[in-house]
Amino acid sequence: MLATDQVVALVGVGILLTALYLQAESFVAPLIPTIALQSLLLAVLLGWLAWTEHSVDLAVVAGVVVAIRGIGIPWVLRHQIKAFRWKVREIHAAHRVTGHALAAVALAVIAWFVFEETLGPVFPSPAYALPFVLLVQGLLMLATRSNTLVQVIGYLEEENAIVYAAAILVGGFPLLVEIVVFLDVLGVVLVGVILSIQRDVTGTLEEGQEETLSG
Amino acid sequence: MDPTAQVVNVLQAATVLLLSPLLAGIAARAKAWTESRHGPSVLQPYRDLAKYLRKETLLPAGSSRLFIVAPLIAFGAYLTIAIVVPVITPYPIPFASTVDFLGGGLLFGLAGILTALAALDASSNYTALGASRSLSFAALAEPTLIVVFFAVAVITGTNNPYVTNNLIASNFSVYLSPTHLLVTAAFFLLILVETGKLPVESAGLMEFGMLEEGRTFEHSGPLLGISRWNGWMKQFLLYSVFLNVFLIPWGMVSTPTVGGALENLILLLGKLLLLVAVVVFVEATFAKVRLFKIRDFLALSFSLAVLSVFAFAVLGVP
Amino acid sequence: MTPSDPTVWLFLVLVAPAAGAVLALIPLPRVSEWSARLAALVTLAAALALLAIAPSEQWGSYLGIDQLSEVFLVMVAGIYTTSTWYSRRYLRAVSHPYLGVSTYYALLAAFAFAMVATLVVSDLGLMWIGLEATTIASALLVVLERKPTSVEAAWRYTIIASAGLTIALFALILLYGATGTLNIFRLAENPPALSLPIQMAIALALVGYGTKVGLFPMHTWLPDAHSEAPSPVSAMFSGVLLPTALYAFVRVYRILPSPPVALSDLVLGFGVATALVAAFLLQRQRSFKRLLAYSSMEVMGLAVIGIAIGGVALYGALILLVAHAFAKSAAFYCAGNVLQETGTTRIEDVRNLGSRAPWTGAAWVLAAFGVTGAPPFGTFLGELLIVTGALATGNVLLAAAIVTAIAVAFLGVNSQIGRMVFGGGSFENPSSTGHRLSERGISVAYLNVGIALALGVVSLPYLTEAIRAAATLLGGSVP
Repeated sequence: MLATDQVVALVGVGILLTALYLQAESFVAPLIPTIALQSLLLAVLLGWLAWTEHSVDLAVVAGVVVAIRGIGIPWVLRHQIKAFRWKVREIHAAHRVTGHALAAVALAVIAWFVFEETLGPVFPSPAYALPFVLLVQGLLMLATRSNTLVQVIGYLEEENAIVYAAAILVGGFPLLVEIVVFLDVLGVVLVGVILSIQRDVTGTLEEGQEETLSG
Repeated sequence: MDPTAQVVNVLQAATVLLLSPLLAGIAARAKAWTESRHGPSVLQPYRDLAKYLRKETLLPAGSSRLFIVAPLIAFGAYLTIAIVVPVITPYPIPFASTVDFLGGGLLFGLAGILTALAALDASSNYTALGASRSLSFAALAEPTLIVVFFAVAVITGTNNPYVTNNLIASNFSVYLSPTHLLVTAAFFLLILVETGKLPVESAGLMEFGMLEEGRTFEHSGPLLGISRWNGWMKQFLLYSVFLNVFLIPWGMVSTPTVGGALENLILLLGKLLLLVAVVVFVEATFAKVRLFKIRDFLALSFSLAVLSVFAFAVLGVP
Repeated sequence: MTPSDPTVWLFLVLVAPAAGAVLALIPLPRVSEWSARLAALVTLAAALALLAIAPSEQWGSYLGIDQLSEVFLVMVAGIYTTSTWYSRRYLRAVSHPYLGVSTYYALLAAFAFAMVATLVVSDLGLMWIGLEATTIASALLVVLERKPTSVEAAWRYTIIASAGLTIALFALILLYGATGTLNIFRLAENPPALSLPIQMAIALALVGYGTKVGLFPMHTWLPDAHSEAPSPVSAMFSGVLLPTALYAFVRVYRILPSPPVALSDLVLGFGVATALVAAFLLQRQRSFKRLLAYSSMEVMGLAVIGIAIGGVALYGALILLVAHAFAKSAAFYCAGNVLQETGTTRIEDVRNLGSRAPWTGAAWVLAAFGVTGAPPFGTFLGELLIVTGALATGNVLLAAAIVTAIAVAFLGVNSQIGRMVFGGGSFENPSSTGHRLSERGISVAYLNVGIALALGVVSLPYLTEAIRAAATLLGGSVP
């Protein structure tokens, strides 16, 4: 039987691989099943923890993550892609695959070191640094991409990091279920509303207004 | 010195030397089969070698001694590597302690740089193109190679490929650890680049797709024979290392007899056939990527290698 | 249930904006407008009542107020009321609206509700949810006008603010792991011992909540959102949203009764960087709304400095925040008027306001003085106290940096506004000469300027006391 630490670390490396892929891939369409996969891996971990710690909260969160972030939001995103059709190719990211991949790896190592240096002694194994690493990966995605859908996926990655952290760092957070549901509803609403507004007003998902905005 | 060990030593060098053309022939035949062609006979490389040795050598105007000497030194380097890495024995043969894994990598680099320099020496457009391309991508592949060595080193604590082979063969959980899986994937991608397979390089008569093969364009006669042989030996050695250290380390008989070594040889041939099948499958499935995308390919390989070391830091090895 | 029972007023302060949001959805503009206005007034009344009646009160383990939240509550309710009042005039002149009038008022009320909710809860997790809710409501408000720049500004704001709040949530998780509770009152009763997770949590909360406050280097959403949002919404952004986010951070920061020097230095560093960067970036702005946005960023930086220094500076920071809220909202109302009348946000295209729109011009000049800390405004008092506190620590360099930021911002904002109001027009620039501009709706600006002025001059009933009490509560000292 696997120990909790091992499961945490194995799932963690899997999640990190998906994070690397999310950062390096330049097409938008493959990112959606990847974030779904990441959410599913997380749900697997949550389910395992719920089983070993007999925590109903975690089981509910696992269910919510699978339902909303594993299935629901990817469905909404795919629906949005269909509405844009051929225009969902990331224009800026295509030449930057190398830079993005290397940045993701470098930042993962740095974030891991930062967490280990500051909070290493508190947690039993280095695998507990992974939620923070995932959080930083999500931030990197938000900072380096200019396509709205991809930024949404980066935000979803951050949310996964939060649930991950809540699950393994503190073993359950009082309002976790409410917060997760709230965040997911927020995600769906925002994605739906703002993307359709963007489609209405600008017709594209890329950011292009920096010059005009700074006047 | 132990005579059996000496015989095994010679046997290993002879295996690499004599069987590498066969491997190339099998690979070419298999690739032709996927393209619905009959393809050349698997013994064609030997006939090619015989043909090259009979032909006259033409030297380009303006080339120097280096042009003649480089393929020969590379040949020597590859033969040295042949007795350093685990090919037909899971235990170190007498000369195996000449260099360790890292040293083996450096020898590969030596052969590569000499070939590239000879290519530049030939002052021809195609060879210069091949040299510049292969060196640029080698520069990007080197960090990956180094990190792969690190990964191997962290798994076992040493840089000795034999120890790695034993450890992974005896501990299935080590084989399944993310560190090992990721480094295997990274090394496989690296092999595709180093041996010049699609989706990285398209060998044959397509000059614009050539990375490494372009370097030997100007050699002729026996020198060309030696150069081609170098390429085959490189492929054989890389495949053997990949199989015996990373992918399929099991099954090797460790009795220090010649019979044991011969058994391992048969086993190695079987494993090589398997790997050739995988590589041919990859070649048949993917189109050649654009030149600038090779950088992305190598970056991905590098990321996987770094992640494998990272996974070790996070997980440890069970 | 008597009028002196704070529960009644708590109920009203929460229900009024919520009801206003629902009622405003009725698709009749007049009904919508008046229900929004009524809701705002009731909220204001409830906030003032809470200020007057209850020093500190808890309801269960999720709701609770003390003087700090009461002060902020009055600030939020006040600006919400004046913004709602001003909105009528602003909405009449929007050229290509994307949102309907009803949607606008409903979102405005929802925005206010989220902020009020953030201020009256006593659980840090619920506070976080409140701030996240403000992000949604305010992001949609930014898209009032149908322009690509508005949409992009709204999206950038949403994504950056949400990213920051996610970091803050991570901090809360660490905090919960270390202390076992997120209730601020319980934490105040049993302050936790200093430990690594708590320090890391506070540092992460600084970055996370700091994104919403607009601290450097997470401020990139601020100028865009302020310049693209309609003016009453910009007023609410600068005046109440930024301080509410700061409130959330202060609640986390003050979990430790005496934070270690490294931590307070970190906070101080962010504050100083924000103030200086804002003051200097201000000089290059060509749009007056962005000018005002950077001025808000500078004031937030000063407030953070005051919080980090503690003592008298903390009291100064609170006064600064309240006075600034009123003055900045007034400035944005004037800006809204000017924008709609002249059709441009560029400073160099606006001239001669003094003769074309004297009341607006005068209000703007006064508001600018109020914002930048000219005596005798409340902001001057606040900034003076912050500088005093800085000098008291003995760090002359710090005090010099603060004074530099204040001075540079003062010169920047006032020179530009002065140029617009007093500068002579030229015939080449058609928008700078000509007829008188309409000055409807400017009275709220005067009201807010007056309040900002009053804070500095007199001791307002209940409010000044409450500010003093709040400062003491947070560990500051009051002269």
